[in-house]
Amino acid sequence: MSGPNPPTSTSGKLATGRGAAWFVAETDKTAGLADPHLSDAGIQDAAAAALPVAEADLAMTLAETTTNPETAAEIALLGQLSPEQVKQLAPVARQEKKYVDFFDVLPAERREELLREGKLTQEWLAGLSKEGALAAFLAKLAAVDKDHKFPDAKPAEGFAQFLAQWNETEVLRNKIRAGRGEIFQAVQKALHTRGADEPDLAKLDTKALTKAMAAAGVEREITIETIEIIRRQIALVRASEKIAALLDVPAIREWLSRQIQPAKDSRGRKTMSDEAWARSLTKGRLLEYASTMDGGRRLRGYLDKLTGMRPLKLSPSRVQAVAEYWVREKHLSDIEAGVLANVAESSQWGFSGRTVWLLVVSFMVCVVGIANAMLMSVTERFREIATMKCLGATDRFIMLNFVLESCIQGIAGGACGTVLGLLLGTLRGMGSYGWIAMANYPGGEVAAAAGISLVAGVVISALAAVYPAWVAARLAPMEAMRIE
Amino acid sequence: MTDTTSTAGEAKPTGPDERAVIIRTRDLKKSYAMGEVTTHALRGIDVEIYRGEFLCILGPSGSGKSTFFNMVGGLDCPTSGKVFIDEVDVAQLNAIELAFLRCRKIGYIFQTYNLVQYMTCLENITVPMAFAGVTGDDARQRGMELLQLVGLAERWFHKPIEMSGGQQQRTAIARSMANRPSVLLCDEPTGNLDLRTGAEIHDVLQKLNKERGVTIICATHDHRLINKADRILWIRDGQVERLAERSQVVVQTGSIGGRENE
Repeated sequence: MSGPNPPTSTSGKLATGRGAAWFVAETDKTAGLADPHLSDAGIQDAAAAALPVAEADLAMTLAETTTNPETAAEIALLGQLSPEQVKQLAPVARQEKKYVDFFDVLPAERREELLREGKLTQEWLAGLSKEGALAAFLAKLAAVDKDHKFPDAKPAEGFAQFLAQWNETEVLRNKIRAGRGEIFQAVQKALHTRGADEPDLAKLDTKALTKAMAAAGVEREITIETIEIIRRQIALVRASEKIAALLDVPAIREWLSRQIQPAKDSRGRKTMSDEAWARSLTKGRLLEYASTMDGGRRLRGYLDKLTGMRPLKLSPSRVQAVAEYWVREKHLSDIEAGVLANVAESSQWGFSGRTVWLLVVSFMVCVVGIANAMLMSVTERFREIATMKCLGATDRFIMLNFVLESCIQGIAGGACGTVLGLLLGTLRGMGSYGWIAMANYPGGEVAAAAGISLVAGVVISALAAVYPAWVAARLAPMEAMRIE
Repeated sequence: MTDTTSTAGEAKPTGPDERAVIIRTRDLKKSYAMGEVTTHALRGIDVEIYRGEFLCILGPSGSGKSTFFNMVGGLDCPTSGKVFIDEVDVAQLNAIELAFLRCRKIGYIFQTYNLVQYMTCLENITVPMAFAGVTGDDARQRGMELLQLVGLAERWFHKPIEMSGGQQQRTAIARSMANRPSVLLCDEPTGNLDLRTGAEIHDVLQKLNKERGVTIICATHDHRLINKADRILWIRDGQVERLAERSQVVVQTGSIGGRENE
């Protein structure tokens, strides 16, 4: 795997990495095509899944069938193909994938010159069979600069050969598309006719689906395996929506901008400053980036690490691949992920739920502890307090005395805690990042945190001392006369 | 009560009936409700205490002596009856006025000294001055004067734990005099001391009484202290049993091994 790619591709718009989520239609189309009456999330998922598959996504998935038997089985089921037919599709798809990758890394304007709307689509490939179309494409291809190498050594022969094979196998791919479309339309119907408020995917069974398909005039046996595939894919659509939502969080985008390198010019210089880069890295660009094979995998890795979600792993082998990649690259430590998760939450809450809980509990423990200590102090000094009152101390003085005493203890304790927290926090940061932590020391934030802790310590101490001080102030002066 | 022989010093007004009354109690009663049982600690006491007099209060434990003492000192409120200190009804005072009274008018001396352990001798003495608004050098100067009065000037920097019982009690006396009160309330001032150190305390108290004209009210069992009193008040079962001039009472103090002070 090469270094992180600049997000230059426009050939797909999903955050999900095309190879894995081949079934997922483009998000904008989903929004446009969804039946307005079917507002339920589940039905929309089904509708999204029922859309025609993008050419490039299908190619990625088909290329995977040789290494991933699960995907192969899935394809065979959806297209009602034999295992041999799936095997027949794989080499063509692998070749096609190379072209997709090639187009992915091309500059956008170059790509739009070569492809219609800058996308490698089924229509475009089919259109090449027309007279003169292939020759025109090859002529344009020759103008592409030498930084971008076409997968075939001899583009004219190699691409023509691929095109022939592609046309040959197009029947099979169409079967997959059609079978998939039928099934998901049936799912949509089956869920819709149930009329439940919230379509429960778990309720989707073979009987209902077979019935729905028969109603649509399609004779097809629905097996448990098919249902499983449907469920899995709808779940994946939902997961991809989650990811899209994640990319809306500014904190996450900001962090991702640090993980993903900005585009570089031919001499290897950055084309924009880091800040400009962080600003320019919008959700859209991230999705573009993710739509490249490499970028998709990377982003998926980041997001998996970030959220603990495992939405896009189709198989253990894929999980393993991502994990291996992860270990090798190690872009994000656990702590970083934890911090980031907090940051993401804090953009809404101020603190994460767990932090708030911890704070509240520790404050309560503090208040109880301080109040107890002060009560003991008052009890110990019963005679002293009573004597003071005999000598003319007012209730106010006694009360103020104890509250002030507690405040001073609060300052001392708060200072100790602040220093200790500062040390521990710094050490932990050093442990995670080494000297980089010191170079990027967030002085302002740390100072603010220290100030807040100190003030909180004093305030809590003062509050906790109010009751003990009141007890002391109420003490009768004649207690001083009492002998033990 | 009226038939007093003149034993007053220069500071005291002379002659019967002309002596100013500093503390007067009228039908003073105090009862404590303990569940269903009501304990009557005081059952109506009428006493007049004169300015500049040295009064000893005697009585067995549980006689109501301490209760009377607290009433007179403005530390407790009576159930019925009245206490006048300088013609002011104590019951009419609010908390702040009571604190003012305790600060300026009355000095307290305790059996257990009740010095603040973490303060030095001088600091202990300046505490009540702070309550009266005297601070800094003024307070220290006045504190040192008082320490000289009780003979502890050279030990001003000692903590109570570094001093003997007698020295602690002398410090406590100096503290009670911090705001120049007109009344000193002493609760068994020599109860924790041996004979000889007790005698030092007696001397200091007598000196204050004679030289400064301070009214001293003293609950005690110490016969030699009683011997120095102007009048003696016996309390039994919450009532005045007897009130007599010192001269009318035979007070005998014994001696041990020929080392007798009086």
